[in-house]
Amino acid sequence: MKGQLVTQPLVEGNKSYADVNNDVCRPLESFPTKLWLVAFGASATIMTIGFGLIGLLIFMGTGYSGIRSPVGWGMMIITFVFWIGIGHAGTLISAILFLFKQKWRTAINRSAEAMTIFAVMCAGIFPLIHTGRPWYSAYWLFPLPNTMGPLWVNFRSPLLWDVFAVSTYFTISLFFWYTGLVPDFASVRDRAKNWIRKKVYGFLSLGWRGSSRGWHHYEIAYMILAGLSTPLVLSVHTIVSFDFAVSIIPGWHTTIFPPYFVAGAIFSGFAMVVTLLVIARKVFNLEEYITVNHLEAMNKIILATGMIVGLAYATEFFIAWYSGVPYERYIFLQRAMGPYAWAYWIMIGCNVISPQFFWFKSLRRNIPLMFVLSLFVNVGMWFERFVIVVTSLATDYLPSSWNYFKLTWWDYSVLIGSFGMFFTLFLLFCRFVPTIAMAEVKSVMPTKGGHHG
Amino acid sequence: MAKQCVVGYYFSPEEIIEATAKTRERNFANFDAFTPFPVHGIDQAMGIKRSTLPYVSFGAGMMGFGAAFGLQVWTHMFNWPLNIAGKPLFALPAYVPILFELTVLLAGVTTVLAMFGYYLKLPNWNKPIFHPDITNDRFALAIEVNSEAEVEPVKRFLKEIHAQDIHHVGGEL
Repeated sequence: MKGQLVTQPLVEGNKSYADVNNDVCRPLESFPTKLWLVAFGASATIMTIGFGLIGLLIFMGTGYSGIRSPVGWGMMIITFVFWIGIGHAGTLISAILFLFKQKWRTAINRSAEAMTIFAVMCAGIFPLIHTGRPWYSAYWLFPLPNTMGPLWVNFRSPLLWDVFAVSTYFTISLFFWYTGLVPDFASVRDRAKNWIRKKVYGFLSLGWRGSSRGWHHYEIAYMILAGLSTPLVLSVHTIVSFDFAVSIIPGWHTTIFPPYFVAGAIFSGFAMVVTLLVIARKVFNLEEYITVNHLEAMNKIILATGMIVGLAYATEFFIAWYSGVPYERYIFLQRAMGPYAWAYWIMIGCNVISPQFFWFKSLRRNIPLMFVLSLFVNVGMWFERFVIVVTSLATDYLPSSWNYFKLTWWDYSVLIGSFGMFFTLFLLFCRFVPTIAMAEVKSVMPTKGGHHG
Repeated sequence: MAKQCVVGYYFSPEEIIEATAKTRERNFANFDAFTPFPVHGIDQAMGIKRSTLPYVSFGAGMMGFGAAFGLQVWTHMFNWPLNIAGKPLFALPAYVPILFELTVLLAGVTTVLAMFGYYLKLPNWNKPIFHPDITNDRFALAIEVNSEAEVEPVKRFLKEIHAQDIHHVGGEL
């Protein structure tokens, strides 16, 4: 067990292989609880209102959003970067921890990957509505042949790199997730009592039978996907940061952005995983699989990445001073002491101060505390993107055009609407898909002679 | 005569590894183990050759790289050259992100499609499922025989290697 972040037994409660299937499939096979119905109803309502408001903006014009000259990137770009960042923890858990042979990932990888996919779906909506005319997006964003020349997309622009990075990331995450799901869909199929369930899960499982010759290819494919996803996940937020770093705006044009964005993404993503799993393990009685040891390991990663983010904030400030560039110096003073200082200090408080509690083992294992702190980190990471996007744009090169940026009621509502969509999808996932990778958990359990002796 | 599968069951990964190793020594034309999760060490016990899937992935990745390079060079330099902010038309560093993304995209998608479609011959919903607990906690060993007459000796062999609930079903493995 050398080099493992979690060394204790990974599954508690002396479980047998059959117990794993029974415990994980139970929420799929029972009638939804009142709690689930209420949560689903609320999330779906919020999502619907959000989409209605997006429709309003598209129909009436982008004036509903707070974007005004000189701040041309408002809530939509901030929230896009936020959601893409959330997704990163899922890929880190499924790919990077796999390559590091961290066996504790098996309990959490399925739900974390689901979270990745849903977060990227939420993210993808925002740049589309930011264009204002999403029906033109097909050939604005992708190199589709057209009758205007043909006029191609500009492959030398970071905004286009972003399109390719995000769509590749979504596709590969979806394929990776589905590959992991096939054996588990077969488990659900084989224990199904009614024929609709048998048909649907049978279809989804592609006819999987668990052949050892098949498992051999399957495991190699899984390894290749992990190997591909690892540089991919690092590239995605690197390229998102290029949207900023490749421009010549003070406060954005810095070489620290790629590692700083990637660390921040993993930081916020793990916070979201903790938020979701603290609730899910309780509601679906999975506490023996997603143990306090798992949560503690995630809190250690939150602490480590939080420290990297804190270091990045400090480095940015130092380099702004050390560069001697007056514009760069001015923008950083504006961030900490200017009109957006309130946002800056929310960011510092949530991202740098709040993870410090995790230095103490008893606090790392304190579930109510980690839940609250994970919410703080999520808030802090949204504000980080707010600070980056807004401060640099609001104080541009021409002081006569400086303007104070305000979010409108539309911005707030659509931001909340995106959370509605995220939770709607996650709640559906909890009902219809095995939330724990059963086959993978079994492979890290100690062997027990079964009931036949 | 139609082909038959003789199936026996085990209840731990160690037992199935031992049983497959013994089955391999008997040189049956076709046999396979069916397990709820990938059992480590069974590849060597069964004598499974290493998958050629990585070569497929590598080839697909190279094709993605080539496609990305060709697409960017052709659109910017030949099909419709556009001067945008004085950037060079052949801007190799600026091409790198898309070279990387399309390499990963094609390699990843091809890996999954080739693994299921070519190597596992899935989707295929018509193959027999020997026992519903194979995806739960049973480890099945199935041996394919060519005729009804061979069923009994193979059943005896499975009994010798301590398989439980031995039965046979018609059809190929």
